[in-house]
Amino acid sequence: MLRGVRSMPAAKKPSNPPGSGIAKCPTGIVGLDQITNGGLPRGRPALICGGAGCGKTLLALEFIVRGAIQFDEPGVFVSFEEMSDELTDNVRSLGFDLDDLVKRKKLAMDYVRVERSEIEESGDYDLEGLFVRLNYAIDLIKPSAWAQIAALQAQILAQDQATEHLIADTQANESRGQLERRAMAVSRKADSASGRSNGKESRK
Amino acid sequence: MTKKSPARVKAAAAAESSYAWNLRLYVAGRTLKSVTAFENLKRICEEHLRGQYEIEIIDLIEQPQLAKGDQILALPTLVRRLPEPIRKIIGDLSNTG
Repeated sequence: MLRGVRSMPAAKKPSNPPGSGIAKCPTGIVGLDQITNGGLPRGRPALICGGAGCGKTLLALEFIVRGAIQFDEPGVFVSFEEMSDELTDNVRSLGFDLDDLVKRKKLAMDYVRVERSEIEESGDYDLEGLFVRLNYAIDLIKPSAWAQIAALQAQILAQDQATEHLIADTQANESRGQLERRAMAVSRKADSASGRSNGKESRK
Repeated sequence: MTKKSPARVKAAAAAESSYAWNLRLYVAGRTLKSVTAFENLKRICEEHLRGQYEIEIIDLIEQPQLAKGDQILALPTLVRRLPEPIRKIIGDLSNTG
C-alpha cells in the first residue's frame, strides 16, 4: 500500500504529538490512531504482520480508502493474493466503493500474480517490471501533477519564444542570458512538481 | 474467480498469428539485459524455428500499461503465447545449456 505524502508535513502539527519524535500519518481508523499516537509513521514503510484472517489486508485497504476520502491523499493498492474485483466485492458491504474511487483517480489497484509453475529462469533478470507497474499505478492517481508540468512547459516555451523575439529585436545577448536563466528556474519548478504526489496538488 | 482477460488474449493471439510460434519479449528500454535477451532469442529461433516464429517486442518504458496483461514482474520476460499452453521465461536467455 502506498498513500500520498504531504509535501509540507510541518503544516500539520496535530498529527505529531509532543515527545513522539516521529511524524505520523493518521489512518482515519479512530481506535488505531489513538493507540498509535496518531497513526502510521509518515513517509516510511510500515510492515503489518499477523496470522491468517486477522485483518492485515483490511487494515491496509481501510488505510488507503480513508486516506483517499478523509485526507485527500490518493493511494495505490497492490495485492498478491486477492484479485482487484474480489477485494472490491469484499469491502462493498463496509461502505467502501472502490470502483468509484478508481474512477475518481483517488485509488489505483493492481493484482500481481506469481505462478511459479508457469515461469522458467534463464540468465540474468531484475524486478524492473514490478517497478514499472508501481510507477504506472502512481501516475494514474496524480494526473494533475502532469497537467501542472505541461502548464509549466507551455510557460517555458512561451518564454523561449519571447527570448527569440527579444534577441531579434535588440540583439542584446545579456538579456538573452537572463531569460535563459529564468527559463531554467521554471524548468526546475516543473521538476519539483513531478516529484510530488500530494493529494491537495492533484485535486486542482 | 473470473479470469476473462487471459482467455481473451489467448483467443486473440490464436486468431492473429499465422505462425506456429508466437513469442513476446518484454523489456524496459535498451539495456544490456534487453539487448542480450533479444540477440539470444533471435539466435535460438533462427537455429530451431526458422520460418515458423514471430517475435513481438514490448518496451514497458513506452507502454507500461501492457505489463498487467501478461503479469510481468521480472525483466526481461519472454512469453510463449503459441503454441499453448502459455509459458514464461525470465532472464536474458543466456543460460541455454
